Amino acid sequence: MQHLPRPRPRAASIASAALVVAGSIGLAVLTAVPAQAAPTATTVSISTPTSVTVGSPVDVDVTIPDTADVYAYDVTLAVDGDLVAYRDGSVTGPDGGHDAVRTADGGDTLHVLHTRLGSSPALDGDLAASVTLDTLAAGTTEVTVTSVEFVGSDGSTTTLTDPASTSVTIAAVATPTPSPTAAVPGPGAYPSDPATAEPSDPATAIAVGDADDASGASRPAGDALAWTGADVLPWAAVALALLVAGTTLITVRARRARREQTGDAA
Amino acid sequence: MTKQNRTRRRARTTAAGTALIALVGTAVAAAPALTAAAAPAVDASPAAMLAPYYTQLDLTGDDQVTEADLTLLSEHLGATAADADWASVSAADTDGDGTITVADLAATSHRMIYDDGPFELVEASTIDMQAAMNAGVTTSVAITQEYLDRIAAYDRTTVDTAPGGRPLNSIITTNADALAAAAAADTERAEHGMTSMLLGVPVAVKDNYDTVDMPTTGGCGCWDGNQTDTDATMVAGMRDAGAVILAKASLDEFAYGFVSEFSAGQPAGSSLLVASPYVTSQSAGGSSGGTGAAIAANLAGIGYGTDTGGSIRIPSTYNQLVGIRPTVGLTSRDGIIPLALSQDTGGPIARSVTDAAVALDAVTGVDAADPATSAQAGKVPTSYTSSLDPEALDGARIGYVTTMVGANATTKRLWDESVARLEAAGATVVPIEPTTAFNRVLSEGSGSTNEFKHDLAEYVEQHLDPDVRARSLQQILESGAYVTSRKGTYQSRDAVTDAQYEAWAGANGSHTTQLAAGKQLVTQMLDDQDLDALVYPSGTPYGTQSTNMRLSPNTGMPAVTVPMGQATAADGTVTGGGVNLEFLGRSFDEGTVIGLGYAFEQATGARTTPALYGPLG
Repeated sequence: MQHLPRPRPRAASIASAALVVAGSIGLAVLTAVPAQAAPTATTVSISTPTSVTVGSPVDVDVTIPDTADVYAYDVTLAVDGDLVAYRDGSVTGPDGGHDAVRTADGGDTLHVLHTRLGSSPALDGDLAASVTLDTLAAGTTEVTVTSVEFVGSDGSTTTLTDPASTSVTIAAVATPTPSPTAAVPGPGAYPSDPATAEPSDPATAIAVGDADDASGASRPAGDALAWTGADVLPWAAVALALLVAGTTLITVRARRARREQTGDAA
Repeated sequence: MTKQNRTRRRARTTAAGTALIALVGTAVAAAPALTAAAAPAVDASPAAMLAPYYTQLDLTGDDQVTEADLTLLSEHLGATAADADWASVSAADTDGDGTITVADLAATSHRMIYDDGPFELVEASTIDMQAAMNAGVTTSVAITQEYLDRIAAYDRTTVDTAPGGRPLNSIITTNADALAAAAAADTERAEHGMTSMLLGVPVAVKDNYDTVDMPTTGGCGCWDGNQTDTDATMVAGMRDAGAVILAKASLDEFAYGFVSEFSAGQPAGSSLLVASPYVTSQSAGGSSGGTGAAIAANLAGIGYGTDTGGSIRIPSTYNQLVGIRPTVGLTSRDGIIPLALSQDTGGPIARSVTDAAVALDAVTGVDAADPATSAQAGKVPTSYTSSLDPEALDGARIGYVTTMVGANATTKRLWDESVARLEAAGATVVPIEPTTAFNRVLSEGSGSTNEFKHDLAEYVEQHLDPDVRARSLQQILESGAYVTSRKGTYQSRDAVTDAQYEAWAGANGSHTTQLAAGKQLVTQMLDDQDLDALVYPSGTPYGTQSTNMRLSPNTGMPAVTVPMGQATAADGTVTGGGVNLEFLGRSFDEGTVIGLGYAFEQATGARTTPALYGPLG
C-alpha cells in the first residue's frame, strides 16, 4: 500500500534536473519494545532542484520507501536559514493525517511532522512528504535529512540518522542597467521564437553569480565581484530575460500538463 | 546573524525579487498556497466525550483533542520544561521526559475520536462508530442499513443448528424512518461535527417506550395498534442527542417476567419467546430480553430497557452485556408503559460500560411529567463519561454481603476470580455479614402485583392511542390477544382494589415505607464502612441468584452490571452462559459505579461475541 502526498501544484520548475541522494545510515531502535512492534524503515531520499534563482521556491521532496507501522514521523531537515525559509502551509504528507513544520535553530532546522489521527492504523509502504522553501538570498545550501524519527502504533520509536542530502544553488538576479547596449542584444542573444526558448541546461543558466557555488562549471569568468562591474550588467540583463522567459514557458507547460491530468478547467 | 536581521533581509530580498521580475516584464506565477488536509469533523463544542482518556491531553481548553491541539503541540516541538510557556503544552508530555517530541505528538493524536481504518460493525462501540464516521469511512446511513440487514437476516431465522436452536425473536418493529433519521445525522455531522456521542448511532428501545414513528405494544397483541402521538421523554432525549431510533425490541409482555414471552404481532392466543444468541435454547432473560438479545447479537448499536425488579440486569447477565439500572428519578418514566412506578426505571443495555454511559447521558433530566425526576436536580454530572477512569478501582473500598454470593459453581468461580481482580486493581474488598434488617430489604416483593392496574390506567389515560380498544386489564383479557399463560396474573392484578394500592404504594403504604427504609439502611452500610459500592453476582448461567436482583429496586439505588465471565464445561452448569458482577452505589451517584464498572471491565474484558451472529457474508 502506498501513501502518496496530496497532489499539490508545483512551483515554477526552474531547474528540472533534480538531485536525489539517498542514504541508509544506521537504524536505531530507541525504545525497548518487541521488534515486530517497532516502526521500520531503512532508507530515505531527498529531492530538490539543483538550482533556482532568488525569489523562486524550492520544492523539497522526501521519500521513505518500504516502511511498516509508521503512526508518526519527524523528518529533521538541515538548511541554510540565511538562504531559504519554509513557506507556511506548504507541507504535505500522507493523506489523512496531520502535517506541520516546526522551524528551529533560527531557521537552520526544519522538523517536518506527520501523525495519523486517533485510532487510525499506522502506515505501511512508501511514504512521501514535501515542503516548499522560499529563497531569500544567493548561495548554495545543503538540504540534509539529518534524522527521521518514526513512532509506531504502540508508541515505540525508531530513528534513522543522517541519511540523505542534496544541495541547491540559488542564483542572484542582478538589476539590469538600462542602456542602449543592454536594450539591443547581439545577434542570437534572443531566440527568434519564445516557444523554443527552453534553456538547454537550466543549471547552467542560473548558476551564475553564486560566490559559494563549488561547481564553478557554469560560472562566468571572474568571481562574484565581477557582477558589480558595469560591463557585465548588459549580459546579466540578457541572461535574466532568457531565464524568466524560459521559466515562464516551463511553468505554463507544467500547468497545462496538470490540467490535462486533472481535468481542471483553467 | 540575529533573527531580527534575518527577518529584515528576507523582506528586502522578497521586494528585490519582485522588482526584478517586473523589470523584465514577465511574471512568474507564484505557487498557490497549499491546502492542508480537511479537518476531521470532531471539533464540535462542547465536547461530546468527557472520558479522561479523551480530555486529559487537551491543550486548547475545549475538553477534546482536535487538530488545533496538534497544531499547538507541533509549534512547540522541542519545547522543554525550562521554557516560559511550558505550561501550555506540558500536559502532552506523555513520556514525562520534559521535552515535546514527535512521540508526544503521536500520543496526543491518539486521543482524537477518528479512525480511517476499515470499519467493522460487529462489536462496534459508539467510539468506533463515531471515529469511523468522523473519518468519513462510513456514515450513519450505512451503519443503519447494515443493522437493518442484520435484523432481516438473523432475527427471525433459526441460525443455530444445534438441538433446541431457536430464532432470536428480539425485534418487534423496525423503523421505516430510520434511514431518514440517519441521513439527518450525517448532515448534522457534516455541518457541525460530532455534536454527540450518540449522533447517528442506531438504538433499539424496548417496546414499552412510546415512539411517534412506531407502535408501542408492550409486547401485547392487544396493543398492536398503539401508535402514540408523542415520544416517551427518554426517546425524545435520544433523538435530541442525534440517535437513530432503529427498532422496538421484544419484551416479556407488559414487562412482567424474566422469559421475554410476547404476543405482539402474533395471532390471538399465540406468542413467541426471545432466545439468547449464545445458547439459543436458553432464554435471553427478561423482561428486556429483546433488547438484550439484539444488542448481544449486534442488531443495533445500543439498547434501552426498563427495570422494575431486574429487567435490565437479567438480560445483561444472560447476554454478556452491561446494564445500568439508574436511581429511580434519574430518567423520566413518562411515555413508558409502567409496571410499578415505585420501582420502574429506564436505562441502557450496551456492549460496554462506555456505551452505557453514553446512552445514559442522553436520557437524564427533570421532567414535570414524572415528579420523581425532580430529586435529581443538581446531582447529574455534565457527562457520565467523565467517570470512565480505568484506575477507578485503585483505592476503592468495595463491600459485599456474604450471603449474596451463592453456591452455583460458575458464579462462585467467577466471583472468586473477580474479587481477586478487584484487589489486584487496588480495591479493598470488605465482606459484610447480613443483618435481619438487610434481609428484610431483599425479601420485600415487587410492586408490580399491587401497582400495575393503577399505573397502567394512568398510561392508558395519558398516552394510549384512542383507537386501541383494549383499555384496561379486563378488556385485555377480553381481547384474547395476550400471552395466554398470563391470564391468571392479569386476573389477580385486575382484582387489586384502590384501597390495596393505597395501603401498598400510598404515601404511608407498606411498600413505600420499606423502600425508604431499604435506601436508608444500605446507604448507612456504605457510610459506616466507608464503601464506594456493594458488589454481588447478578445471576447464574441463565438464572438468577436468589433475591440479589431486588437490592437495587428495593432501595431505589443505582446499579451497574458488568460481565465477569462465562460458564465452562467443568462447571457443570450451562456452558457458555454468562454471569455478571453488579455494582450498587448511592442514590444519584451513578458516576461512581460507572467508574468502578469501567475499571473492572478494562481489567476483565469478559464479554465475548456470539459466534452464531458474525458479520453478514
